[in-house]
Amino acid sequence: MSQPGPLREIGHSVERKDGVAKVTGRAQYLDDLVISGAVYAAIVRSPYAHARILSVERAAAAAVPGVVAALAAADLGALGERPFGTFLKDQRVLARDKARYEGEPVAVVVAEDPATAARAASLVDVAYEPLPPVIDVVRAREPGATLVHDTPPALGRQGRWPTVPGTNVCARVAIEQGDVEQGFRDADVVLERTYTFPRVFHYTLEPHGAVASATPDELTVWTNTGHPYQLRQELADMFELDLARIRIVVPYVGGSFGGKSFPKLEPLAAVLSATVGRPVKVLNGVEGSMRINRRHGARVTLRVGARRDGTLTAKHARVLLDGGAYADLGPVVTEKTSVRLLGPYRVPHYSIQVENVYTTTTPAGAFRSIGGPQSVWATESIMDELAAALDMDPVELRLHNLVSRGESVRPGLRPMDADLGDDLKRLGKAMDEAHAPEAAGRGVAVGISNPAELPISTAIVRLHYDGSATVLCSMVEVGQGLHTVLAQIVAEELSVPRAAVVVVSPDTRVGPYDWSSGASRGVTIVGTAVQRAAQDVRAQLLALAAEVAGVPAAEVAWRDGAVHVGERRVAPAQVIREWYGRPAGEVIGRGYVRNLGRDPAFWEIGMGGAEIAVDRDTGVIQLLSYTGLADVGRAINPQLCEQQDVGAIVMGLGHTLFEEMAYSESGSLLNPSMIEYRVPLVTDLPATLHAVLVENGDGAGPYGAKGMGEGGNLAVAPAIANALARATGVRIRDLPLTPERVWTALREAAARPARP
Amino acid sequence: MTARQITLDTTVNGRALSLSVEPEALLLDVLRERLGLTGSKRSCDVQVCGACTVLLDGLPVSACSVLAYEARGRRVLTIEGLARDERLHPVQEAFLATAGFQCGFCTPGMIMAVKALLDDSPSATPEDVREHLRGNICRCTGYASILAAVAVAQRALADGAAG
Ligand code: FES
Ligand code: FES
Repeated sequence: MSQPGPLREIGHSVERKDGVAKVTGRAQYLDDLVISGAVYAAIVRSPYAHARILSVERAAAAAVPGVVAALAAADLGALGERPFGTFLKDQRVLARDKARYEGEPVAVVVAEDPATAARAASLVDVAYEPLPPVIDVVRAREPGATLVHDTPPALGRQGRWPTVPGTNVCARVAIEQGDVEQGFRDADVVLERTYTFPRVFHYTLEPHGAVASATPDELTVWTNTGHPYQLRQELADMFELDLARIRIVVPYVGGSFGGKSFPKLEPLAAVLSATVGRPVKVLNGVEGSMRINRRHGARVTLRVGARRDGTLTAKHARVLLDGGAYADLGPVVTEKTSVRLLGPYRVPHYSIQVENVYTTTTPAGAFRSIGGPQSVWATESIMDELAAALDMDPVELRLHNLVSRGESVRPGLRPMDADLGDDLKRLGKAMDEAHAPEAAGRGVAVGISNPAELPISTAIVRLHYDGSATVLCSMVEVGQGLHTVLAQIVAEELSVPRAAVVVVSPDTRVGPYDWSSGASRGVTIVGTAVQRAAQDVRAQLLALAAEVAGVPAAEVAWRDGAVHVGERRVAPAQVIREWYGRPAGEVIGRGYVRNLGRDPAFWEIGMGGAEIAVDRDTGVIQLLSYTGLADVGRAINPQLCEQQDVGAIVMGLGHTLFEEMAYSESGSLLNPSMIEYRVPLVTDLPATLHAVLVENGDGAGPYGAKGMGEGGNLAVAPAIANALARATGVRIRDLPLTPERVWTALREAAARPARP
Repeated sequence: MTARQITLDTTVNGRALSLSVEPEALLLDVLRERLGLTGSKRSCDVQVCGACTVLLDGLPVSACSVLAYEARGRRVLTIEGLARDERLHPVQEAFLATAGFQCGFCTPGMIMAVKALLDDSPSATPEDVREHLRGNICRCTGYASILAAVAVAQRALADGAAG
């Protein structure tokens, strides 16, 4: 029925669909929307990391002219009681009996304008009885530790991992294979090391927010979420409404990186609207967003064994993730961390246990490769330590142990679908080309991750009688370039000009179901749904053309971008006009995806190499060159792929060199604004920074594409720490690699007698 | 006009305006809420990120941290005032050409900061450019495509494109 021709659209760096709107300031983000009749919420937050709430005095605030309501949990009725959470139902819109982290919402003032709301919020007087904070994961796991949650929360709809009652363990996952002790007996060298990874903040430039309008039988929420359909379910449960009565509308979104996944401010906005009977706008600014979500901190104790020739024999890992006060995506992060700790190597015997631990800090959730950077930081640092112990070249050690194409990474998962050895050699060549003569050390790291879980997506493509097309799907364009790539796919499949393809932003009243925006799944999974919908349009066009011509289906075919009835060429739009008998109607194609063969849909490969110099007087690491490598199967839009990778690399520089949400002993966030919280600036870029794309056409997605976008930040920290060790002999196992840390380590090393 | 309000005579994107505003009103709020010019974005709110950058008599300022009153008798230029008759400014064209954005939230401020720099020093060196853009954070792009956009804009302006 169809003949593949050369690709016209795929593989080209075409201009972004959202470009003009974004460079002119016309793109409308949440705070730019005008929702008539909306009132504004200001949040009153707990000043304590952990405290019992004794009373909330709100009369003074309620009396301020312009205030609509001053509310505590007790004022919200059943909606204030009902816990939410996709994996564990452990969170409420306002803290009820106790606050579990500094900055947790305890009360809210709703007013006619934001300034009045903020002023009145300062008049709310909350009496607390402070409780012991739980800040450090190790202490949080000790017997008799203060419990963050006194009673075990129920599982959420997607929950599979219960908490461990009587402890602060929010989720525990253990995986093993073979006999790990035997593996260590088989080894000639055994190393045990502990690595730590800091809690870090997403800092999407656009803060979290939500506007909700609740009526007794319908709920509409405008929000910058990454997960409209997960959110719909959560709100349907909370409000006991049919899914069809919940409408989630997503305008332009100013970045997510996972931080806007799953419910955030939306339940609060919805409950407030239901309570005051008006649309309510909740925006909390960047400082508020630092009290919403962050990446899990991690403490990874790794033991690895190898034979003298470098062959790995065993791996043992015990990991504590710092999950903060509420589970959010934590249980899934726990599970992903366990697999991501395996790394890309053949390890016959392993035992890995990961625990996500509640602490009285900002809740941790999804962040660009969940558990990925934490795992790769440990596994790729220890590979270099092992190479040093074996007196082997670190790249040789890796090449010796990498799994081959088709080889199992872990039973039950998709076998490796990339040529890792070739990729690593290509990285080496690209690094040679980028070589900076003044470099004092060079390091590499190899990351793999199993993304794109739950490949469930649907899409609709509507071909209009003028030849333009509307694409409906519900993955969110958070900046990754999704809409551009989807338009390329539709233009390719239907031979319509890309400019005539409009991709509609998510609105659950209009756009069909999609599982989520994250896990590098866009092109592979949503792209497949859209491609199938476009192909469904094509199939229908052939049937309609056959009907119009009164010929058997076998006599019509799709060739060179058009329908052919015998030798007669009919443009797609013309088929529609001829079938309806006038310029009217349309053809509606549907695409469904429920799995793409094996889990994961693909392995995401993120490698990187760094060259650095070190200022021994100050401890400052100067990054001279960085080369990333992403194995993307097929780059539908190479420019967008490269930019995703470069963006991820620079984001990785943050947790490598500067970023950490620092907490005091008492649980106060010590760097609670962007003045104190330092993210990478343009002046932090190395002189040479580039990303190599490997395209073998071997992905499960359209045209052989695989997903990407998360992998770039996996390798950054270990590559730089490995370069530091090669440059100075000093191994640092705690991130970030601040000048103070580097300087101190250099000084300690200088004070130690040289090894014989 | 209540007793607390003051008169603000200013020019925004070429249009002379007389507004009554609260003395403590911030320029960003007046632009976004009063004038509906929502292209300028609020992010850090503490003069670190540059998402709210607008030009005051040609100089870049953080509108989140400047009183609206500071604009009295001066010319304010926002991202909305940059394109002329739907014809994009060469800096905007350059950001399109290199895709110097992803989510786009930093973009209006970034473009205004670049315009201010190139108006002042058209042949700024790459080091000057980096130093100048230190006050504009982008969390998405890793900056490389933004630096590429600046170079493209410099070439276009040197070739006589109307800035
Ligand atoms: S919002 Fe003004 S500088 Fe960040
Ligand atoms: S494009 Fe998202 S912050 Fe710059």
